[in-house]
Amino acid sequence: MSDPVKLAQSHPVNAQPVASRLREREVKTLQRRFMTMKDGSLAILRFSPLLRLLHGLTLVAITGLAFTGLAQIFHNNFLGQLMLRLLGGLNSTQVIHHLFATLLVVPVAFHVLDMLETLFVRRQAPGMLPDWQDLKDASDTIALDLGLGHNLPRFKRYSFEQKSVYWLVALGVLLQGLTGLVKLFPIQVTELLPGISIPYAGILHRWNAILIMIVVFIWHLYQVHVRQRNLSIITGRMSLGEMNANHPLELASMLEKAARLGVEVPAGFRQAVVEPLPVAPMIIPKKVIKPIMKHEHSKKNSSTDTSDKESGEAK
Amino acid sequence: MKRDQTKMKFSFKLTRFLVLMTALAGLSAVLFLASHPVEALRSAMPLQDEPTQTPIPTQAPTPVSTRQVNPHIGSDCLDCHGNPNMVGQALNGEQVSLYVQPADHQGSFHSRSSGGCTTFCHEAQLSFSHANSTMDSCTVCHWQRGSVQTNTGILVFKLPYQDVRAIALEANISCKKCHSEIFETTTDSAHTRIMQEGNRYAPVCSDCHSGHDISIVTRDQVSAVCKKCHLAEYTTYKGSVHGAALEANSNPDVPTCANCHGSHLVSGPTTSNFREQSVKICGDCHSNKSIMDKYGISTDVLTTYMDDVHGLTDWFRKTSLENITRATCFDCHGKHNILSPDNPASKVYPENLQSTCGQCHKDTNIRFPQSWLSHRRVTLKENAGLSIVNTVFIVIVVVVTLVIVTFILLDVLRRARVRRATRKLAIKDKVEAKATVKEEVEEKDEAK
Repeated sequence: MSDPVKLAQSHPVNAQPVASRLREREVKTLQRRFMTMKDGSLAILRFSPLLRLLHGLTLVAITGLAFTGLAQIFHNNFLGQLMLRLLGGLNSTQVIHHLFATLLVVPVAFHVLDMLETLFVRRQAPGMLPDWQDLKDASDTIALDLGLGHNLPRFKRYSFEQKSVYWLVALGVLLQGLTGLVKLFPIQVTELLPGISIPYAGILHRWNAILIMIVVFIWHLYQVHVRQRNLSIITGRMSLGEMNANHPLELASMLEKAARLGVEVPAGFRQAVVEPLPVAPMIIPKKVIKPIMKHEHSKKNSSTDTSDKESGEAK
Repeated sequence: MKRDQTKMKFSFKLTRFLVLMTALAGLSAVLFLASHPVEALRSAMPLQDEPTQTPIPTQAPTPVSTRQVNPHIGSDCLDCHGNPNMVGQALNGEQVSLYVQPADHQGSFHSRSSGGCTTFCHEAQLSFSHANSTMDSCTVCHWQRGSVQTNTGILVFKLPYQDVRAIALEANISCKKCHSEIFETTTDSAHTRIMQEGNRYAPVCSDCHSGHDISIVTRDQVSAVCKKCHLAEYTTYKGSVHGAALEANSNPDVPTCANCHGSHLVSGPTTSNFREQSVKICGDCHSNKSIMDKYGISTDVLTTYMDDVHGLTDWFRKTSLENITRATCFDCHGKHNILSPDNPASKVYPENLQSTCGQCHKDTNIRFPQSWLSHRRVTLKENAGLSIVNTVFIVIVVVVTLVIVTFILLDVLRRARVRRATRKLAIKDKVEAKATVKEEVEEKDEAK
């Protein structure tokens, strides 16, 4: 029993080959993602509990950082001063700012580890990687908005808008972390770098913070809360109707994967997948719209899912 | 029905909004009060009423009639005190000249306005030694009954004071009679404080304004007055840019002792109050273009300091929420030894910066002082690199914002159009449905 390989293989966990264990786990994860709610409606588990937790931590940390940071940027302003007063002065505001920054390190570290696991253990491509299709989707969307094009973009797991928010915030947070550390430890930094790097870090930290705030509090909130009430990052679920409207390609790939792995899927999921509309509703002449809208109505009445108006319109 | 529902919904939303806002306002008020104790709010208001101005008496009060007792009263004080040989001796043996130079007193403002020596200042002297002179004092002059000594030797008079300083301290109180307002001011000064702590030689009115030749201390005289006690500080000040200019040609632009430390309300330089005021003290002149342009000194020093990490605490000084632990002007530039930054002896000469910064930033290194922009603004002229990075980032922020806003606007507009189209369609559907129902009914009727 002195051979470490044999010792490792003798353990019940390691007895099974890695590939089959991974496959088993994948099957389990996939099964869990096709959900039937208590009232019989169908939903997809869009975000795992880990991702939801990470998002929650990020939300708290970035909001806290934004408030304490804005109070410091606008210390000459009445609101900034009120904010600083409520937080107990500049020094304590800075302490709170650093606490939130430390809190933000947790989701960032977890997220990086999760990414590495996805890449090197599960050997899957992360859904957030941008590709050429995103550019096409963006141009299609603009054309649609301007009434020039007819292609309604169909998204995968993440739309180009979600990807752009993700990358702007992810790179922004990295830059914020670096410049923040430079500002926090100026003497240690100047052991290596010239002294002028500290004011540079100050300028970058300030403007980058404003950029992140604009992206998060305007674009991200518009996408998630103003345009539609998408709470999937909190509940984890997305109704089948919403899924069909917002991420049809992900649903299709999930069904395809289920078929490949031999996972049983409730029948409603396969029936729900409809052919995409050939063109966006607003550009079609009224005569053509009528049957489509009727089709929508009848589908809504027949299916038990409670997809909201927006999803219907988006199609 | 639908309209009613929307109305109800709106009113419900409005009520909810109002209730929420009231709750928020209440919460913020509670927080505000919690962060401002009532005492702090009260302290923000003026502490006391304006001091009432006591009228300066225009007429001398009626002198106490002691003529019958003392024949000296009728004569002019200078008849005796104009004699340079008069010397007083306190109980501890200390001696002081009792001679008053006639020119000194006549040149003083007080000789013209007052009734005489005893009216305001030397009231006490009326009553004690002059009225009830001790035999010791009489025999100094009247060594023989009926005759007055006329020799020119020194005449030593015994005084009923413990020491010479007691005379000045007693006479000092008489200043209060007319100058009550200024006198009250001095009671808050550092000089009065050390007096109360037991130092009898802490300066009183006459130490700065002198006893008989009473005058306003002019700009040129200030340093000479202060150096009587603060010689070490004066010597350092004389070597600084400010002191040298004052000594050389009594430059009207440079500060004297009193410009920074105040005159009657001298505050201790080690107090936090002085620290708080120091930025304003320096900033008042150094942000004044009309003064600074003569010497080619930048007037941005105050604003650049305020915008920087050190000056950021300034507004807290007003609220005194926290101690000012960050560097103010004099922490870097020195107190009395302020020199031009080009002077190798200056604390802010580039080669001395490491030790100057090291006062607070322990374990500093040679590169660290470069992180301070030396009061240079972030402009293309003064800090090209920083200014470019700043501008580029502003452009990025603006462009990204514009892109986001464009996307949102286009999306909102498209959705609005789709919604309108859907609503029209729904109305048409209803009308058509009604029509078909009618037709059906008609058909049925016809069939019947």
